[in-house]
Amino acid sequence: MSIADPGRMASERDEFADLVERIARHRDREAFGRLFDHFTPRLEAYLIRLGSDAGSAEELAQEAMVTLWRKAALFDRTKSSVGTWLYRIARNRRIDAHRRNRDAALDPEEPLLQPSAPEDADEIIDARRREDKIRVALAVLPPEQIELVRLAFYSGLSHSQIAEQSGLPLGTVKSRIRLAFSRLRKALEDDGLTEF
Amino acid sequence: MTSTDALDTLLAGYVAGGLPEPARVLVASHLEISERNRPFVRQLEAMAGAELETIEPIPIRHRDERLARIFALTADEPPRAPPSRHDPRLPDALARFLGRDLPDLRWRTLLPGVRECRLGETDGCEATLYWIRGGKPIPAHTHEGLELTLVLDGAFSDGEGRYGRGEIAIADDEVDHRPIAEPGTDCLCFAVTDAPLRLTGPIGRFFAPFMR
Repeated sequence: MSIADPGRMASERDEFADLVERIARHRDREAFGRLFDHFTPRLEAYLIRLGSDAGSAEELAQEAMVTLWRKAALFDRTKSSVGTWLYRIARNRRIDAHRRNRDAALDPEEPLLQPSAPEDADEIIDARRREDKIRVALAVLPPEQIELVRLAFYSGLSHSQIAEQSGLPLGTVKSRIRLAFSRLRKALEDDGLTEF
Repeated sequence: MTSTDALDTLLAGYVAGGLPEPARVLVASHLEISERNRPFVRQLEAMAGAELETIEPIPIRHRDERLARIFALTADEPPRAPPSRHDPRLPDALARFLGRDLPDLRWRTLLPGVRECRLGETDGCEATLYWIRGGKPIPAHTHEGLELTLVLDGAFSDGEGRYGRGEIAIADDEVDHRPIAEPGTDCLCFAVTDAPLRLTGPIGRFFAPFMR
């Protein structure tokens, strides 16, 4: 959630979207290789941060990249950035893997459940505008709230683990996290951003 | 602490992929039915996607082999099985979780006009469907944890407000709420609790031994 250079991010975003479209149209291996090199190490780092071991993180990131290779035609640059699209795919693959493990423990005969769709039906939203505004909205949160949002959102820590780590009482952690998300929402709504 | 804050946190948990399965299914079902919170969820997802750019990447192992494995795949994934036909009141996410249609579930009558179908425990949460005839009270209970209720049909009211199709009611610890189904259409709800229910009141005492 650090504030990256918006100009550089915008041009990168266009470049990534172009690469996905090249994969969709021409099965372009060079384009895929570039996205693979950029996103795989990030997805793996993100999955490890959420608690996956290196092996599962590699497997899940690989599955997400397989989805990118096969489903590139479903990517829509007006709806999200490539990073957000891959984030959602990786998240859903992680949930699927958790479900497979749990169901296998219950009933080894159970056939694999339907994998989650890489992308749900979505409303048309200008992805670029949305991502720019989120950076602005985040800037209104005080740093300690950003840190809690970050912990709750990206670390995979439970509220009680965050309480333990920060030395704050559990009730305080819970109410601060709630407050942070509702302030974030309010900042986005004040901006008219949810009025699509 | 308002229930709006609790809902926003729940939505953030959904985006982060950290919800127990029944709660994830409840939120996914809500988003299918209702447009209201889709923009906020998309915004949080965009935030998470942007975070990928700031994360410290870890080196890729076996890059060339991994790329070769992907290029060896055919372009198209086998088509997904078409979604099974089910009662239109059921969102797809919930229908997949149930694995069968409404009439094929094992319903039992708690009171005249009040039926439930307990779906068991998953990831530490109990999931239950309630089918309440219009105008009937839903058995009153307090919670040792959190209870999420998604309205699938009809509507109900409790001390906090009125909830119609697609809306999520969140009851926190220490809330002793008395939801009543609105007269008219039967109220169908999907409820998720993170702790066993403890029924209160005369009816509750009567049923409690059967509930747990």
